[in-house]
Amino acid sequence: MHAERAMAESTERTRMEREITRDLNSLEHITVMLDEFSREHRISDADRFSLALAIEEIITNIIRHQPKNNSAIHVRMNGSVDRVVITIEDPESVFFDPTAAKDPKVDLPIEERKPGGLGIFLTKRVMDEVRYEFHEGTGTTTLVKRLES
Amino acid sequence: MFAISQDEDGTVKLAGRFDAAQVNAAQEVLSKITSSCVIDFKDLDYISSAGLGILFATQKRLKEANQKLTLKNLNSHIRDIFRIARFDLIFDLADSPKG
Repeated sequence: MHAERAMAESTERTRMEREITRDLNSLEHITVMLDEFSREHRISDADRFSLALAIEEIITNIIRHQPKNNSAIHVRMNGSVDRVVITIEDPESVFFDPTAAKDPKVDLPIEERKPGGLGIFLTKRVMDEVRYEFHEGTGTTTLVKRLES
Repeated sequence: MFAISQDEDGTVKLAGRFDAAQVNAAQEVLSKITSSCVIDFKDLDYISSAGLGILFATQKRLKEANQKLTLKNLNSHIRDIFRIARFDLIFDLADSPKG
């Protein structure tokens, strides 16, 4: 009984993909997509919040750091029994590794603290894995989130 | 959907999703604040680094004039983000539910 259930769950997958324009207003489309994905894959509110944050931070980074690129950004969501893997592909881009950014000094008092740098810092904290690969002009950021049991 | 408004008593209310596309709308209201006030997060579901950045800049500006923002009713997910970003060192967080 337990073995049958485990086997059924291990094959349970949810996949979605979408292309978005390089525009901050596209974040709304990603929110709709993630909400649908989260419903289908029964993702908790806490994990959905983390995924929304990480996806937004990577996309806004791409828009900010690749301003001359007009190609669409490709977002894939892939859920399995214990994790969600998001890939964000930026075709026709130049190499820019968001994971290489230095962490901001968040323990400083407000007088000494500098604005900015929080996006990738937060992404790395709320995801279990953040990877960047660059191949033949396409930058791909992969976000991995292990799901709450 | 995002909304920002200011009550007659000066309390700023945030609602919906405060993402990078909402920076201008938020900036329009927050840039006019010149004295201490409360920001009510009761109806705010989500915030990203873009929203945190505006709140940080506003707090820093007010602090120079010995004024400050006090934030209340943050949901548990937003409180987690504030804790990771160490914004709990920068803001007074009032009346927030535990968890």
